[in-house]
Amino acid sequence: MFQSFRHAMTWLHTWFGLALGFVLMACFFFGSLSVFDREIDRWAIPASRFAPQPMPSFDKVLRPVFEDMKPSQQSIEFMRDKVNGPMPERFDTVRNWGAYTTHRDPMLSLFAGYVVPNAKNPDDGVRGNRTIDPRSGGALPDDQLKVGSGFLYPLHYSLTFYWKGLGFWIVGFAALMMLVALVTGVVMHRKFFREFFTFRPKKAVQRSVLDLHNMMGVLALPFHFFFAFTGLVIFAGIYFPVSHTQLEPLHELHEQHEAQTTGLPHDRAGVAAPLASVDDMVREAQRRWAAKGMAGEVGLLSLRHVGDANGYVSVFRAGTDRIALVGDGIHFKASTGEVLREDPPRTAVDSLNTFLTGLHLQHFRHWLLRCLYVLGGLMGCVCIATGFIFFVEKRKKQHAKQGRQGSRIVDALAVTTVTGMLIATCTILIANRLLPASLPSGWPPRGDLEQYLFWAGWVAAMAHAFWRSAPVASGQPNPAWREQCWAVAAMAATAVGLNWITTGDHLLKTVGEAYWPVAGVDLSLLVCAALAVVAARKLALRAAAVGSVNRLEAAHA
Amino acid sequence: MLTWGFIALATAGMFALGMEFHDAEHLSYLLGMLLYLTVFLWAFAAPRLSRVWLVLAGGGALMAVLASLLQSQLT
Amino acid sequence: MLEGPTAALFLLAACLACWAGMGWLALAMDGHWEQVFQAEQPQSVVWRLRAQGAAGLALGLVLCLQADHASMAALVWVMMLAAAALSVAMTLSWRPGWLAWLAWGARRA
Repeated sequence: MFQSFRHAMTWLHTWFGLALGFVLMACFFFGSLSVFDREIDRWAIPASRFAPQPMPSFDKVLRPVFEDMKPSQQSIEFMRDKVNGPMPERFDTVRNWGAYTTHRDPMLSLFAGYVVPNAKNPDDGVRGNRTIDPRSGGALPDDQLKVGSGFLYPLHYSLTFYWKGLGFWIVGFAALMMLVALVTGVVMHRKFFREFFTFRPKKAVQRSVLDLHNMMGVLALPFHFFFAFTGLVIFAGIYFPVSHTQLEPLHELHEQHEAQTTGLPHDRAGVAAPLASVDDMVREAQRRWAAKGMAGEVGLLSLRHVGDANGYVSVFRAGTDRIALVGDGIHFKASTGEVLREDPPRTAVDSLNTFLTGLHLQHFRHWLLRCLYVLGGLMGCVCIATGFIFFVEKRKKQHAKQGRQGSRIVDALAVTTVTGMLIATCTILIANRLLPASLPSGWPPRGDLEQYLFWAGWVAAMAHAFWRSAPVASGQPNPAWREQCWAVAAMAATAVGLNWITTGDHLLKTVGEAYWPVAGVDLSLLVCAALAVVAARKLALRAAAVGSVNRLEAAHA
Repeated sequence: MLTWGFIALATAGMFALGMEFHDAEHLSYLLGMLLYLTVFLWAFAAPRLSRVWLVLAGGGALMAVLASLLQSQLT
Repeated sequence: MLEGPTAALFLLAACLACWAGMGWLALAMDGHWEQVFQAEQPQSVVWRLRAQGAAGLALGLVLCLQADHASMAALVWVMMLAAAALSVAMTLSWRPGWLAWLAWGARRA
C-alpha cells in the first residue's frame, strides 16, 4: 500500500491523528479536569462546601435513607421493553445496596439495585441512587448537577453520547488511535534523543510548532501511553464483551463455582431474614485491618440480597494510600454478623490489573501526583493542538494557491476544539452560578439546562470560528484564535467573580481558610484567564506583523 | 475480529489451565489491547492486503472457534 | 510510609534531584552546551555530565521511594521526570544562562 514503512506510519499519524485528535482533545482536557472532579463539584454545589467525611453509621444514618430509596424513573423506562408483560408498580425486592466514598468526598453517593421479577434476563434490574450529606442523612436536591464528577468526567469517557453507547465506542477508538499516534510518532521522529530538550520559539512558525508538538509528545510519552492504554483496559468489557456472549456459559460456571468456594451465595434463598448491626460489622472489619497493620477507612460498603437469609454485607477498605481503589474486603452474614470470608491477598494478575486501573482512576491521596497528572494531561492537549496547527501551517499556503478549503476547515475545527472547548467549560461554570436554584415548573431541570448551555456555548464558538475563517483560505491566520482567547479570559474571570457574588466565597476568604477545593478552581480560572490574555496579545502582535508584510507585498505588486 | 478471537481463546485457555476466571479475562484484555494496536499498525504497513485479511479474518475465526470448543469441554 | 511534612521534604528533594539530572543530561549535548555557554563543548565533560545526569535521576527515584510506597513512588517519579524535562527544556529556550551553574566543576575540567 505504501512506499515504505516510515511512509505508512507517517500517513497513519497524520490522518488518523487529525480525525481522532478532535475527540482526543476532549478526552485529555476533560480527563485533566476530572483529576479534580470532586473539587469542581464543590465549586458548583455551594451546599457541599464542607470537609470530606468518613463513611457514616449505617444503622443510624444510611439505613433509613436506603429504605426510603426507590428506582429512578430513567432506570424504569430503560427496563420497560426488557420485561415479559407489564412493568411492576413496586420494587420491593432489593438486590443490593451500596455506598462508596473517598478521602475527597464531602457528600456520599448511595446506590441501590432492585430485582424485576418478570425480567427477560434475570440478571437485569432497575437502579436508584441518591446523594446525601453524611453528617445528617439529608438528601441533596436531585436537580444539582455535579458539574465535575457528573458531567465533565463522563464527558471524557463517553462524550455523554449515550445512544446505543456510541460515545463509548468513539472514545475507545480514539484511545486506540492515540496509541497508534504515539507509536507512529516515534517512528517518524528521527531525532528522538537529540531533540529531547529542543524548543526553538524564535524560528519559523512551522519549526517551533513542530518542536513543541514533539516535545509534549515525547516528554510525557509514558503518561500518554499508559492513560490511553489503561482507559482501554478499563472499558474492555464494553468493547469486547466476550464473557457475556461467546463465553457466557464459562462465566456462569465460574460464578457458581465461586459462590461455593467463597461462601457468598449467588442467589436469594427466598426466606426473609433480619439485618444485624452493620456498624458492628464495620468495626470488626476495621479491627481486622488494623491487626494486619493496615488500619484504614471504609471505602465501599455493599449489601447483597437485602432482607433475605442469603444476604451478606461486604466491607472494603478505601485505597487512599494505595493505587488500588478499594481492597481487603471482609464479608459478613447479613442476618447474624458472623464473618463469612476475609478476602485473600490478590493474585499477581489481579494486582497488575488493579494497579493499571487504579493508576488511571486515581482515588488515592497524593496531591503532588494529582497535580503532575494534570500537567501530563495538559501536555497531551498541547501536543494535539500543536498537531492541528502544524497540519494547517504546513498546507495553508499551498491550499491558498490551489483554491482549496481544506486548511480553512481544519483550522476552524481546531479553534473549535481548543479555545471553543475552553469557552464551553466557562459557559457551564457561569451558567451554574447564574441559573436560579429553583426553576419555574415546565422548565427542564437545572442540571439539564446547564448541560444544554455548555453545548450551546461550544456550538457558538464553532460558528464564530467558521465565520471568521476566510483568511485561512488565502494563507493567513484565523482571527478567531485571538478573539476566542479574549472571550476565554473574560469568561474565566467572570466565573470567579460570579462565585464571589453568589456565594461570598472569594479568593481571599477561601485561601485564608485554606479551603483549597474552591480556591483551587478559582485560582486555576484566573491563571487560565491570564494565559489567554498573553496568548491573545501575542497573536495580535503577530497579526499586525503579518498584516504589514502583506501591505508591503500588495504595494509592490 | 482477530482481537476478539484472541481474547476468547486466551480467557478460555488460561481458565482451563487453572487461572481464576476474572484474572484470565483481565489478562486477556491487557494482552488483547496491545495485540490490537500491533495488528492495526501492521495492517497498514504490510505489503500485501490479502495477507492482512487472511490473518485477521482467518486467525480471528480460528481462535474464536477454538475458544468455543474449549468452553464446551469445560461446561 | 512517611507522612506530612517529612514526605513533602523528600518529594521536594526528589524534584530538585530530577531537575538537576535532566539539566546535566541536556548540557551533555553539544547543541545545548553552546546555547548556555556560547562556547564549544570540551570533549571531557560529555561522559561526566551524562553520569551525573543519570545519578541525579536515580537519586530522585530513591527519594521518591522514601516518601511513598513502591507502586505510588514509581508513578510519582515517572511524572516528575516529565515535569523536570519540560522545565529544563523551557529554561533552555527562554533563559539558557540560568543553567550555567549546573556545569560548575565540569567547566574547569
